[in-house]
Amino acid sequence: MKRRRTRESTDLLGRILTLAAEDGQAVHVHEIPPREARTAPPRRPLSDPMREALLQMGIADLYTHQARAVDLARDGRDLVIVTGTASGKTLCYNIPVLETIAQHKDARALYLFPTKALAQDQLRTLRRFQRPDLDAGVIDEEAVAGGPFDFHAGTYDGDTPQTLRTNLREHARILLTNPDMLHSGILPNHARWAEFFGRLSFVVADEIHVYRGIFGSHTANVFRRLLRIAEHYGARPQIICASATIANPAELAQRLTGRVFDTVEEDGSPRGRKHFVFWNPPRIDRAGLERRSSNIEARDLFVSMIRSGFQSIVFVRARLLTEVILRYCQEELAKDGGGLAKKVRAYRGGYLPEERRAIEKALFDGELRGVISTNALELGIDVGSLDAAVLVGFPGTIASTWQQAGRAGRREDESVAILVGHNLPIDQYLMRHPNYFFERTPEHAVVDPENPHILLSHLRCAIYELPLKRQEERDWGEYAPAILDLLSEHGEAKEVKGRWYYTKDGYPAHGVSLRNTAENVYTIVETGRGDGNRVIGTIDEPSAFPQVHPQAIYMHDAETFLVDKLDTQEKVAYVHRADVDYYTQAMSDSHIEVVRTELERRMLENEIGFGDLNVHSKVCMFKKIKFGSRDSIGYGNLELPSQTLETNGAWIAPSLEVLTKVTRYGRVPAEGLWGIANVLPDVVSLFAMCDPVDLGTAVDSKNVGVPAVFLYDKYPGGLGFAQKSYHMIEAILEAACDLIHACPCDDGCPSCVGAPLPAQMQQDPDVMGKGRIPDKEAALVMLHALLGMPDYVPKGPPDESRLERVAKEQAKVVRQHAIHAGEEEAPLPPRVVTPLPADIAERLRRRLGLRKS
Amino acid sequence: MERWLKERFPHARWETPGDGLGVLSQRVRLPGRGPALPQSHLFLDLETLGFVGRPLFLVGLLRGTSGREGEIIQILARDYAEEEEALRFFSERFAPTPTWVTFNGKSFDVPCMHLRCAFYRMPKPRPAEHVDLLHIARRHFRGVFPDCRLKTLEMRVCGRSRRDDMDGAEVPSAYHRYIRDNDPEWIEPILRHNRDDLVTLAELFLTLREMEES
Repeated sequence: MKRRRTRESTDLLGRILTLAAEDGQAVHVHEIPPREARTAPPRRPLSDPMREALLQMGIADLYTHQARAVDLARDGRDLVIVTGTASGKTLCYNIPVLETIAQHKDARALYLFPTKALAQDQLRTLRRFQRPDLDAGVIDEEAVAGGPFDFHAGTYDGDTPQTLRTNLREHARILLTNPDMLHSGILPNHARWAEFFGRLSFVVADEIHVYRGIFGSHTANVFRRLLRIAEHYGARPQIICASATIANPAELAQRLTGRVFDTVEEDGSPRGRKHFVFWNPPRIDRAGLERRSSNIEARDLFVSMIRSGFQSIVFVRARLLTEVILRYCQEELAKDGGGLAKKVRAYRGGYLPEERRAIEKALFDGELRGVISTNALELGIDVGSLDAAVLVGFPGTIASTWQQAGRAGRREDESVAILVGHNLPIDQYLMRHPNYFFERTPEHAVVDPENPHILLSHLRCAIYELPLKRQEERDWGEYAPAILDLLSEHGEAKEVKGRWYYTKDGYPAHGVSLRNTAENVYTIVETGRGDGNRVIGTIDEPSAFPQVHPQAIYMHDAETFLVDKLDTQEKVAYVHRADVDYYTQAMSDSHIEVVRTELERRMLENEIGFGDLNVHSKVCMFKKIKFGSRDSIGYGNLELPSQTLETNGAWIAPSLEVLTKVTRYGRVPAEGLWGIANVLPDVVSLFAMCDPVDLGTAVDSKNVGVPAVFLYDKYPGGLGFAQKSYHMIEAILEAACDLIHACPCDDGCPSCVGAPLPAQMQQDPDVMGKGRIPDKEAALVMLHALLGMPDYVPKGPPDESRLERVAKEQAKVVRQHAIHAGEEEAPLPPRVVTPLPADIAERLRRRLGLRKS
Repeated sequence: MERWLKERFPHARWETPGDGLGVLSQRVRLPGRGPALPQSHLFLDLETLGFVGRPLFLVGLLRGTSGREGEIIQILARDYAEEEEALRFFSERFAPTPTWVTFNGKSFDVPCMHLRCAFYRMPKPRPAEHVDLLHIARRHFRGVFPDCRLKTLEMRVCGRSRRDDMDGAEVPSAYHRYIRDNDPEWIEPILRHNRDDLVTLAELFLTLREMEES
């Protein structure tokens, strides 16, 4: 048995409930009953070497879903597998692929994963087939030669050394890569891969639920380019996809690849009994506004489980928190002695690959008893199944929550997942209404490969790679011909004898990023060591300013480092080891700026606009927070350049009449606006075919002069979501209104006017303001008035605590509207007077003949 | 195009076999006196749309006829779609010449041609022997000249330089313009540039062979 079991009792739930005995944190316990394993043989028996290899890995029978996947794959069907975490999804594709590769000496397979780390992990899994007698984790090609499955496989990505690339191109039977590399490195150079593509039998795409929204729309186009190149070299690969649980896996696979899929979703793997506990930290003040820190609650839960021998994982939303909680846990465990403190680690993006591999392996082997991780461990890296998962804060989507909770789940034993609520509006809503979570289906994954903005980039790449026949044009969507005409007008494309050619110098894939996240990465270098400087980690550019600014405390493996210098040219942060008792939390200031108004119209008396919009964010100061007590013990100002997203956006500025109607019902207009801003991403994503996270919203009165709701595309240059919203705003607001009406909640929830995630997700909630879900009734009054519908009469009397604000806001909006309409002059900007030094002031006074002050 | 070519290259012959590509042939004589051009050798220089793997559109060839006289044959894809036919024409008519002589052809011209053949799923032409002058020139001139580019060698070894020669980096965009505007004016400097490269290549070959032998 590979896993060391040291659990002292099996009553995991009982243990957790004991912890809650005094303060009643366990506000809800949901039981997921156990399930027996169901196995079945495939229609045609497995090949002898395959059966042998599986037996050596301890697998005698296939689960029903695995057998069905093997049958379908052997029939040549395209299929998508959607079963739970740790149900043995990878076998569903590895068996048919490896059998084919062993039988047909020419066959090749391409495996696509959304991250490099997953590709590495899956390469190790493949290696186990080659040498099932060896330990997992072997990645060295030499060590696996000569086994029953002797084939060349390797990862091909940005980390692959140049010297290995040629070898992989020529000899790899299974190539593991990611869509970004396929897009920018492989497809544009396909002639070098002619043999590989000509013999391509399988394309395997794992974790396809990640390919949604903008990333998914780009990836769908990469798929089209891939299949087109394969076809050019005479291959039509079979496609096998795997996905975490989402509402529409088969539809997503079809939209991504253009093929029709069979779905395998009936999970035959066994499950021990599982409990899902909702855990609300107890109140600590009389008014009930403050609660105990969720980080401390998580520590107590985690430490208790580790002490009892339950292997556990904690999921947090911010990278910093992995370190803070690790520190808390290690302090606690160190009190016991016995070295348990060394058996817990943090895991997050920014750790060096080898460090991450080591943690994954130690966790898998059972050597490590617990890990505190960001969602970096949410995707399918195989760390084995754990006894308990503690989710600190709602991860933002139903699908992610189940995915993280799924990390706990033994085949036979009991397991538990615990959602610890932050003292933030949405988390508190879930604590009050746990059934909301259990009754909701996971999110839909939406992709729109035909989005003209995205398509333009990929048509360039496509005609660069292979002239595009006129008959093919419309395979790329109805707008493809018009886009080709645009490219032709711009001198980038020309039709010659019925084929489109790319007619410019350069490499069109270069300017196109598939993701809306920046690709620049900063290196973190430790100085002041005896043996010279050393790279200890990396950090993506948007996080670098808030997390490794000068004087920040950078935490790594619970140790504290002080940042001496952030070199934005070379993209390096220099740090040195400093044993301090605090951590730092940066505060940023972000605002939107309308750069150019392109379209304007009225909807009744309300102003609607669309144009270029910049979203600025600037890290302006940081606080020092003492470990444990969470006291703020100092702060510092920062002079860092601001970061700007140049995009476009649409806005709605309600008329004074509309705003007044809201106050007349005793409601706060700003809350109505925020409620609408929070509901818009969900509604607009359906109209504009994107993912809600691709959209940003804001409420602001500086740009238009009066309060307005803004909606923008979270992608440089914009992708047309906001533009579409401008034209369809009536329909969108009606849909928003229907959605809020139909929501069964009493006074706002994450499905309607509450934002599913706090705006500054990378912040430690221990340090944040609390906020509340905006008033649902205010949003409804406002929407009815905006659309000219009969008045909505709010349920119940207005909230006492809001009445004072209502009067203030009314006065403010009246004045803003008067200025906006030109009836009143804009107020002068406030003066900032820096007093002269006293001696100079006196001299100047004397010179001017003024009396002494 | 034909009339225009007659005007610009009055001594050249222009053919369009099967109307699938253009072939411009002209006689040349290497400047000065010296050894004769070997007839078993084919001097080769490609013009392409950029780095290795991008389409090629001109296969420039020089082969000896008698003494220091020879024939330059330029196989031109008159648009992007003619590349395949140009490759085929080269493979059938010229590729069987036993020895190819190139400048940096081991890293550029030949891999380039092979990748394009892979693209069209055609057999890849290979010479019995391939002499890459860049490698020989480096052996003799490294440290002697500031670099071993063809331009430098032309000046230092052949003792001449070109006036208003097209920069190699401008070649792809000039070809794109030629197609886009359907204007042969854009192709002329490329044809001249390629022709001059071939002459220098042949001359350099003779000089380096003498140096090798001595």
